[in-house]
Amino acid sequence: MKFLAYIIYFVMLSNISNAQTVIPLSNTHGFYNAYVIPIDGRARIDVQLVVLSGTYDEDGVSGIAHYTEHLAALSSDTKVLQEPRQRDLNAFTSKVSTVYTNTGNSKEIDRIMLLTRAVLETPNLPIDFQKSEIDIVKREILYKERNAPVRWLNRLALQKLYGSKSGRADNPVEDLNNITIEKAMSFHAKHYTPSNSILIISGDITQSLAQAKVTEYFGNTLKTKRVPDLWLTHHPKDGLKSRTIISSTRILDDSLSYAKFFKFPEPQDILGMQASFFIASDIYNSHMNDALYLEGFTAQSFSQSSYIAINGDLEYTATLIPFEGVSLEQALNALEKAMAKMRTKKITQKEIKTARSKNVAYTRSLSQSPRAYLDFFQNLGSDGLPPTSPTEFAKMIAEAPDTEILRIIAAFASDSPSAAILANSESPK
Amino acid sequence: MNFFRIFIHIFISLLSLMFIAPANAQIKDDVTYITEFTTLNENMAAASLIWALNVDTNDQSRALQALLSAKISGPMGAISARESIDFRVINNIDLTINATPKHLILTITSPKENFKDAIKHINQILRNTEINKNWLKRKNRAYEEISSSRLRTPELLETELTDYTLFTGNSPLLNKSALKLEILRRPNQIIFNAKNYNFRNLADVLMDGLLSHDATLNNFPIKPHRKLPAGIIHSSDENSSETLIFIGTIKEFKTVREQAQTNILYKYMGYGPGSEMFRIIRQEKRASYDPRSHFTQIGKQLAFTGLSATVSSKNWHEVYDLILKIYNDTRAGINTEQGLQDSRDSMINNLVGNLRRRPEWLAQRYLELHPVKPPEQIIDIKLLSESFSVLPLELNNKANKILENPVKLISIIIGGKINPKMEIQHNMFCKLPPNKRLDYCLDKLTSG
Repeated sequence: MKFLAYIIYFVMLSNISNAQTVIPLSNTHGFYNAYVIPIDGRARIDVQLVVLSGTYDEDGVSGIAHYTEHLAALSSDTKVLQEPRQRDLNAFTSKVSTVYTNTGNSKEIDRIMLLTRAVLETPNLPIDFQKSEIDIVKREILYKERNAPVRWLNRLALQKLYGSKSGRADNPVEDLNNITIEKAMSFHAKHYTPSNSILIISGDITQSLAQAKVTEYFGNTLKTKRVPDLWLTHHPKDGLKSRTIISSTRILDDSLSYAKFFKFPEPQDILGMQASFFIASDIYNSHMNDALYLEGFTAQSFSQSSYIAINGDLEYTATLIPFEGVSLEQALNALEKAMAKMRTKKITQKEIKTARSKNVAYTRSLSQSPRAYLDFFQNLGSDGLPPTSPTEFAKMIAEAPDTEILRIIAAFASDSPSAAILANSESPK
Repeated sequence: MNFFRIFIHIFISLLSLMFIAPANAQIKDDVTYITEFTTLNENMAAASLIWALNVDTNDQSRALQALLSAKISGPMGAISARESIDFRVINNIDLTINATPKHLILTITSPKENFKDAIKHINQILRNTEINKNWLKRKNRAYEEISSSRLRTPELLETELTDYTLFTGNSPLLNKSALKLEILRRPNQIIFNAKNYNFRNLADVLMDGLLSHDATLNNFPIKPHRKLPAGIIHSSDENSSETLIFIGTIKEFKTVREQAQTNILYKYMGYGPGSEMFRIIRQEKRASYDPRSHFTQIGKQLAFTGLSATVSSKNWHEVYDLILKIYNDTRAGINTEQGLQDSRDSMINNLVGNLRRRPEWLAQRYLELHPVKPPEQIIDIKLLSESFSVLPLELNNKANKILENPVKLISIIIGGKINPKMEIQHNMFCKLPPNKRLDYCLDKLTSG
């Protein structure tokens, strides 16, 4: 046996600490809300500006929120950085929000705040550049589409579910040639206001410094009304069971895309529901996964996603590639049968305990990545709710009441409006 | 049980270390060599299990990976697939499979506090002799190769070209039961990685109950890798709105230093927003969302290198010329000092990131140097020390020697119309017929 030991040296980034408390700032000036999350041991500061509008808020033409995101980010860089356009966009557009993240060390706080402030100012870029950025957006959308052809099927399912190509559904590829600078400017003017945004400052910063910087850079902003989420009233028709069969060369395998919607009859306490929603969706997804994938062999691959809106509306989507010898119709029947079975299924205490443990484990795993922390912060923030830190979330998970968890599982399983796309893969000629 | 343990802490500094690796060491399947590294993030631990298997076809390699994946994912005895998955999620246990022509590698990563449980779990999986046939069907399908000309993504193109280069034989596929035996046996090497962690007895736990029999697949030598031909391949599609352009090669380096230098120059050309590809193709010409460079180590002093961009089919040939110009300008050595410095920093950051978070990456670099067993003296992964010591300014004078002459590169165009000039003027041009794989043209260009 031999022991050969050598000294090791290489530069390490700081480790993530566990301490995080979300502190609402007392003076938010024009913002809808503003928070600071000091993190011990973090060597950097992240400022997330969450504009509380995304693709759901687009007015008729898909892709406008995304294009506006590009223009605002590039304009902000051009105004503040000495070498603009030398970094990739620090922003992304989701269904309900557009999030800009600027990062630096404590000495760079003023530059970070200037960059953040500039996002809310009318984009100021040469007209030719603005026009040509439409081409970049086109290439980006097509690039993502090629990498995940199933995105297209999911869109079709949502269009069928909501009977629309805008609001809770969208149509970005077909609308690529309808994007204009004017529409983006109009979207920016309407949605990019402090009162339609929240600010989350996290990392190596104190509460008092964060407050001082918000006052310094946003002290002259005034509180106005938040832009209403018109899409919240956008519901499928009662009793809808849309089934569409298509053929396409765009997909590599036969694929089933499924979307379902549930509305609670009474108003919901969305903040209180969050932890229960995560546990409930884990239990529901596990049962569906067991039935169709792990034990059932209906699916070659199976993925599920669920979303809870600020008013408690639930949206569930699933994508399934049938297992060898299983037809699309058989796959859809199996999916619906598994769902129906969940209506009478007794959920055990052990299952709830396991789901809680899985969610807690997930929050622990975030410590490996500062980026994951930021995603976590903006997740609830994107709905205009106070952001939650992983430690706070772990506590919420432990305290989520069983009754609430079971009520949400029942909602997932209910016989509610749905749409399915059965897509046959064709070989290219 | 015959273990051979060596505890080695990897050395990363500017100092140079010497070691002598035993040349042409024979594989002994009744011995498992154990090596320890200490490069991972403080709270993580990992073990890479390595089976020495000489595999000369892509199909065989994929079949082996599918089998191991089915074994990991499916039920085992009284334990259901669900119970295994929940156990791994709750304990943050991550499993990855990698394969090279000489090794099959299973890497287990978890937080230190769960690592012993993770190792017991892996031992249960490895001891399980039954592989569920439906799981195997599912994984065989999941590991099927997808042609890059179908989805037109640079990632698939990289995989297709790399596989073409590395898998050079035509040995018949082993049948399922023979294949099963190959991974039922004890691994030939185990590499642990964690800081301040005592791995004592964990190798015993890992290998408890595993068989010690000779492998079938490592008893024959495999041919060296192929070279990619020079020339142009075009998989045209007149109806496509977009075209993928790739210009590059698989490059074998004379020295590790040359490898590090080449890496920096490729980063200069196309890694991130400060690069030439981003600056010129995306921001000035507004021609592509994803212009980038590729530099992926795929063997000992061997890397996949190139530049790629997806562009509008209407003017793909203009962007093609521009990408060639970026390559030639970089090769001419008229590169900014700041850009080279940033590119060198990016390379170092990548290296450090790989050491801290990707134990399977370090295992592969180690295996390229010591495919059979650890050296008797010191492990010195020279790539690390050489990478740290490259001076960016030395690159401008040498760029024309470091980067391949452009006539030796291969260009692959997927989508768009054929450029008649290119077809007529270039004597190494291959039009890829629809539904044919790239191999068709690669073989044709190779044979001239």
